[in-house]
Amino acid sequence: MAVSSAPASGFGAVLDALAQRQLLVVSGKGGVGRTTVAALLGLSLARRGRRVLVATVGLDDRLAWMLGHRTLSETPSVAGPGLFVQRVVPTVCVREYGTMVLRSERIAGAVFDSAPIRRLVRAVPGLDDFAVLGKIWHEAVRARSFDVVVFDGPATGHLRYTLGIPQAILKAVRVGPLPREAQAMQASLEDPMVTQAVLVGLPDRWPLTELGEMAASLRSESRVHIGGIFVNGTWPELPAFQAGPPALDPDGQVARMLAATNVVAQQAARQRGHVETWLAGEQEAGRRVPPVVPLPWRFQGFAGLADVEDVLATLEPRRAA
Amino acid sequence: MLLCVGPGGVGKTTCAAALALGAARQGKRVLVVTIDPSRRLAQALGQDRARAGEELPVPLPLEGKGSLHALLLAPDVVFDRIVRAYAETPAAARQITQNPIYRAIAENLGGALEYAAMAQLQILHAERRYDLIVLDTPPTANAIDFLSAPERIHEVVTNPATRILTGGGKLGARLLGVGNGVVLKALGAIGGGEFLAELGAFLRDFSGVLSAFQQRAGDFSTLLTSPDTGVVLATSASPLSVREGLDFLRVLHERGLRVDSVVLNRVLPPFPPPPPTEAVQATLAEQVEPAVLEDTLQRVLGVYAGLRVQGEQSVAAGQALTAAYPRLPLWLLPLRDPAPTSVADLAELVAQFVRWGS
Repeated sequence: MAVSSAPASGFGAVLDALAQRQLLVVSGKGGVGRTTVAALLGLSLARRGRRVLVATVGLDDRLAWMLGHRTLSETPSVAGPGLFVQRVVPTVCVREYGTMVLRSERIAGAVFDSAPIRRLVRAVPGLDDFAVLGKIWHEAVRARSFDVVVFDGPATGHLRYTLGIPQAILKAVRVGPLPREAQAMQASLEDPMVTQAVLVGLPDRWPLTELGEMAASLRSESRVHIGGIFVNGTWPELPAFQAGPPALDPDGQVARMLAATNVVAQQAARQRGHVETWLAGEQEAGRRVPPVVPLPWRFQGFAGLADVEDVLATLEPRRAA
Repeated sequence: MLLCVGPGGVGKTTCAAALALGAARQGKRVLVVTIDPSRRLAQALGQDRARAGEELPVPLPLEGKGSLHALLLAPDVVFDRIVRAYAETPAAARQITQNPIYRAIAENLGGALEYAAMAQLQILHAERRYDLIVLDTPPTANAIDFLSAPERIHEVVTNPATRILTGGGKLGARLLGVGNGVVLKALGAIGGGEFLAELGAFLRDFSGVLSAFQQRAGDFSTLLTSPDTGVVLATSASPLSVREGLDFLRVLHERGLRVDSVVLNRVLPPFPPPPPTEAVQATLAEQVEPAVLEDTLQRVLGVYAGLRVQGEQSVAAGQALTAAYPRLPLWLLPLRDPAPTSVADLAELVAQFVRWGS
């Protein structure tokens, strides 16, 4: 079973496959570590010699910090060799799209730089999502400005909606530039050679169940291939130990330490149990399970590039920079 | 009313549920309003997606007159209710709710979830059927976004650009200082002309309903800054969450909201320095094969070092929060793994709140 094999081989193999795609959409519930996984993917793919853009819809600069950069801007900035980061902002994307369609920077400026128009445009249902998805798709597939675009996308609930936009447009609008764009976007999303989704979850019973359902609905509704499931926050595997004889540990210091690490060991065992039970259930139900890659729980959290490099070094020891 | 706010992934919903349960056990009639709870918590609270928008009693043994209900926020139910109550005629209400754009807006318009949460709160507050309403806020990335999202919806309907679509074109264009035709051409190129006309008609009707609702119910900011409303900030001890948490507190104070307390979730106690390595090695040597002794030793030491880092981070987080806001009560909630899955678990959690410094 994938999960009980060494994490390094699993991660490396999955990344080798993902490196061949043009667009990777990272998603999962809030707080599971989507941005962390996007940063890991970006750094790992760049080290494979790919020219990578990691683009986020996140409002803060965490993605930048994790890749050793200070802030994110609305255009790509260099974060390392072959590695670029950027924030995608709906209003900016709408304006870019408007400029493209109107073929005039001047008219687009007159219209979209007006604050009331910007607010109105926000009220057009789905336009924000369409513009963001369109921008990402444009960079990844049409302009090919990068080998791979990693999209640190919205949380799962919203992602279904975002990815459903091209299909919704095709249903609602018959003529004009919109359906043509939507058709091309949908074709890219459905092509596993071009686009794959990467889901992030936690090693607990219910979160895994929800993740499995998420994967199924992404496949059936958006028809996007799932390239991998990253199980974040996996505690280290460790046997439980008994306290030693008092002669070896007169103050009980070692006993207290082992009591603490034993709790971690128990929790780690329970986590693995959850993952295995879930995988078995998925297989029994006849659902195709994408490669599952455990990512280690990082006690000290992720505050900077050093943390991401550290984790990558444990996942891909031979590729460490 | 109590608003539970905080960065994503810190256990905000769990905190909201635990606080609500605690108050119910003190004899209060409590309603907890959740938004996108995890499956396990929804189950613990007896919630069911199919019955979103309904106030369902949480089955729990309570003494006295306390009670606990849970409501899973359903934006479409809230909007439907507003439209039915404030449209001029039932026919006008039907015209709005049957517009395909309405469904898309009620579910997806930027800020719709936040607007629905605030409107729901306002409706419940006016009804005064509960002693305490706990709102688990939407998973917004930052406080400003949450607090200003409802305003964005309001702006849409009072916006001069909207008037171009809704027929008051000349006035709208004058306000914008742009030719009317240019705006319509640009928007038409993006959205299609027919669609724009539909959107315009819809926004005209919908804005009337929302204005009527707000006239009757008052501003959200009045409700948020009223003495009846308090805020609890939940955060985890990770440096990033603390940074975001401090940001939340600043914005809340700026906006005139009263923060009642901060809950630092998933804290670990401080661990003493590790014993001498030889002592650990000697103890492990009796339990593992010599071939794996060194590797095992390093793993045990590594895990313990990690636990110590977490313990230190918890202390640092508490210090950072109390240094910035010395008079704000800070509560600690220990790391609980697995996360609560039943009312009994939540009840246990209520008993585990510890005041910082005690």
